[in-house]
Amino acid sequence: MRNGFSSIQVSSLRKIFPGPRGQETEAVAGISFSCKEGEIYGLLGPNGAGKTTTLRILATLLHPTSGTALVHGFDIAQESIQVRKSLAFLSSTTGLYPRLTAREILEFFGRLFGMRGSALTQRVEEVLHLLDMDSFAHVPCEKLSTGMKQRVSIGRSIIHDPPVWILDEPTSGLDVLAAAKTRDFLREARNRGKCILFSTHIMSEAESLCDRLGILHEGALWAQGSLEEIKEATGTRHLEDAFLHLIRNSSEGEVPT
Amino acid sequence: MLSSWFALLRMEWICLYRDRQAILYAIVLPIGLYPFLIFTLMQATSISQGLTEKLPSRILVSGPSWVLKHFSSQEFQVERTQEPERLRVLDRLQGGSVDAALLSSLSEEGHRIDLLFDSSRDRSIEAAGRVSSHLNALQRNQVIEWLIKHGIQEDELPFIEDMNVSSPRQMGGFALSLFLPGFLLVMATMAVSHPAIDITVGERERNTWETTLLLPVPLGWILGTKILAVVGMALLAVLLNLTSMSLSIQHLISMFQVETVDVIPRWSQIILLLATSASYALFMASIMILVASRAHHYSEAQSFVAPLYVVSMFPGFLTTTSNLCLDSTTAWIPLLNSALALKAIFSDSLPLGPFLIHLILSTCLALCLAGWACQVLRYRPLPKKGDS
Repeated sequence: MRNGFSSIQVSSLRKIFPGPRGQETEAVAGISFSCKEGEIYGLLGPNGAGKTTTLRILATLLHPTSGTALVHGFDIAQESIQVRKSLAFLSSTTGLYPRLTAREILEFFGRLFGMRGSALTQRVEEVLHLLDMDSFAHVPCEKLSTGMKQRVSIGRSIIHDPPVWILDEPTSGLDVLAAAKTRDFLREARNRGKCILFSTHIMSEAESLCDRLGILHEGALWAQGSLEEIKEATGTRHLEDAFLHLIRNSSEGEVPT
Repeated sequence: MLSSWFALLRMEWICLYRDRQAILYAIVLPIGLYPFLIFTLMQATSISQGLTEKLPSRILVSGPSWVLKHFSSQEFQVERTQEPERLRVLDRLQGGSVDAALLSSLSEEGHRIDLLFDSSRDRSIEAAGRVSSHLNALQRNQVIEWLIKHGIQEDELPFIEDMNVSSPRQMGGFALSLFLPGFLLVMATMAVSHPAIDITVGERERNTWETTLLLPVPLGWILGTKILAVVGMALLAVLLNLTSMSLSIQHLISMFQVETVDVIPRWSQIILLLATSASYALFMASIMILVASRAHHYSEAQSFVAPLYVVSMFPGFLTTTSNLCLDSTTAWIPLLNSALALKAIFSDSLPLGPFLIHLILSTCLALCLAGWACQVLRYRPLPKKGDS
């Protein structure tokens, strides 16, 4: 990490999508937050809140309209390749190449991230073992189940052992067992000092995983802090109640905190 | 840097060669189907021709009896008529009850013989050919008789013989140049069409486009590699097509025992063919990527690129049916110049200047289109309004 910044530092980030007949949609309305090493930061929000757009901007897949963001000290607009080298990005729109096997995908991404020879082979074996993929490593991805594909996707994103992980609803579509395994894996990663930013709309998941939370609605960050801080600020006892309280307040025209 | 580039290219090729549709268009069709079709077509044509040749020609003859004696062989079935009504003869010809009619008459200019036939029927064309050759022989005999009558001996008459001076290779090149340019261009178009759709809407449908964009390499590399993989696919199709076609035609020639034709291209020709095909494939791949990237799903992209097949057939059709050749004017017409260059390469009559113009123009145009395609693909993954 450069210059002692937080692993993710977002300042006044804004994204406007142009629409037909000159109409514009503000998907992200000048949000600011940060996420440190060894921390899981959860972005909570209903569908269309701007979670995926925020994460896509941080992953350099979209250009922000204004504002800045640093990932592992690298500017997302100026140093996109360095940013990509520093992060693991996973979302429902990052599919797997169906005709490649799990091992081939890991090798391909590893090679592109600069690994060579025995170091690459060793890392591929390590990830296959870590995510329990040995039994289907040689099977083309198009023949894998949803849970298996998710494991390959996680393996693909962490093959270069990046310090920052950005995950967009990582347990979406998984069964209870696979989702629990994924959560355990994220906890282990946090304990190893990774900075993890992830989005979800499953309250229980956010409660059990996140060190800090940000509640996003209509592109704006309505509250952020630890679980206790958010509950205290909203005067509620459960995260779900706090979430509903904030969303209803936002509909009544209150200003984000 | 170079190893990353190779890794990208390798991945694209692995993906393409595990795609059954791509394999069908780039490998199976060139190797199997087209030579099979040509072989079947040739066989069917020769059988049909053989049947026509075996049948006697039914001719209607009017005029002096000396005309009749020249058509007494087994080739003809002669029907004599004394007072021919021209309209009735025409009716019978068009009705197919006779194949040709020889109508003799006396006019102010002298003795006149009209040969009537129906060019829309094979049997009638064959009959007209047979009658013409008999009449030519008759005329020649009359000339010889007249010359002898005027004191010239038969052994003093000039002996006329046709001689074809083209070499077996030239003959083979000419034969290939008639239809292979069109075939190769269509094959290259078919080979690029599926991968071009696959790397645009296909990637979006499979949700792999964002995965690819996460690679830590410049976007231009990713897109350039994709286009290069598609061009490689087209070149493989062209090479396989050329090989299988040449071998099939060579086999047909040996079957018909025509030893004066050599259709196997030389290495220098193959290199020139590949250079021309590469610029053409790059051009078509870029256009197809541009067109396909506007589609929302795979089948829509297929219908978008379908008109391009027709466009790709047109230059080949023109080279076959016209006397156009690659020169300093046609070299500036995209697509047609590729077809004409292929024709010139096959017939060993490649003009260097126009060929270089064609090659540079096609490649530059293709690179511009590829650049445009890259721009389009760069902005395609952006989510639509309201998508967050």
